[in-house]
Amino acid sequence: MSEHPVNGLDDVVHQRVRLGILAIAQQARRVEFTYLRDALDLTAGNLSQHLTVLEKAKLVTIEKGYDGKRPRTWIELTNAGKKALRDEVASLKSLIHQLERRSPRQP
Amino acid sequence: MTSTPASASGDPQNLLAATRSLTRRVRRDQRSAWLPLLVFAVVTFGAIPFDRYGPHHTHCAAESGGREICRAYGVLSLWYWTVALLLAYAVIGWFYLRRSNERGIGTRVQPYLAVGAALTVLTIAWALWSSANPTSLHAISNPGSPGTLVDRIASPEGAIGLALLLLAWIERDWVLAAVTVVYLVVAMTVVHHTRLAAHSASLLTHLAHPDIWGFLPRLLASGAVLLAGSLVVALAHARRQRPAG
Repeated sequence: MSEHPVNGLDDVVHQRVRLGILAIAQQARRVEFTYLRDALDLTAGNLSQHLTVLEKAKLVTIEKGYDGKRPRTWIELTNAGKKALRDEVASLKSLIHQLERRSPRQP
Repeated sequence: MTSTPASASGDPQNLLAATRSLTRRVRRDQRSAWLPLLVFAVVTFGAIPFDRYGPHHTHCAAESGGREICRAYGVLSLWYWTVALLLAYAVIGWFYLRRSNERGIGTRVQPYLAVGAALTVLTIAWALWSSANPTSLHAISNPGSPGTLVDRIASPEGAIGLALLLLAWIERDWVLAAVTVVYLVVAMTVVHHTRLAAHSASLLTHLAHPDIWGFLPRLLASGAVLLAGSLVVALAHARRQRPAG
């Protein structure tokens, strides 16, 4: 018996903002804090909380530095982060596929 | 422990749609292909004085049938293309890095730069080899043979075009892909037409009374397509960047 796709969803990744952070970081190789804040329409505090969760799970690395006098924070996806994103997207697709197969039978 | 799919964070379809939308936004913000097109247009036009005034070397060898096959190449022009193309990739890399720092979003342009530089080196190596071995080149360049295709592609224009196709794929930029296909068709057609003359055994006659501007249509056509392409791609990017409404 195959495992239900719901079991493939990860609590850390299965969240709109955190999935968004991983998707952007995957596409961009590395991304700056302010870009993420604007793209995801978050406050700095809210974004920091989500980044802390992802960093603790070792899905991203956070590098702080300066560009001249301007402080910059760069976020980069780890290999575990890439895998987590891949697994999450695969689980979501599988789940959608199952839901679509069942939906015609439901009134 | 897993959460339910229909949590407060959204159903699977909305999550996937939001993820794809973010990916599209990042790709849109990363696109800067108007610059490589512009740089290569400048490089192409810059080759004109080197082709016109640079010295040419001619290698000749006799075929088994006794016919003499000659192949000529511009020495200065060859060095110009090598240095100019490698410098162009350095400039493009610097530009993408600077833009990445400004926008706060990285790019995946390294494979494009690596492939572009590698194709440049291969093209120059092919030019040197084919000039030193004109009979081998003639043997593999019969109409319809794979050698003909290799000889068409192994030109600076071919190297630029193939690398641009890779950039179009990296940036998922269909406008750039279309511009590159037009460029390759134009460049390969004109390049091929020019190079057929170089394969001819009567080349030495041509050299005795050379058509000193014979190379010009090739460079003008290639450069013009790149320049126009840069404009088209820049306009397409600006249109996509503009907020809707």
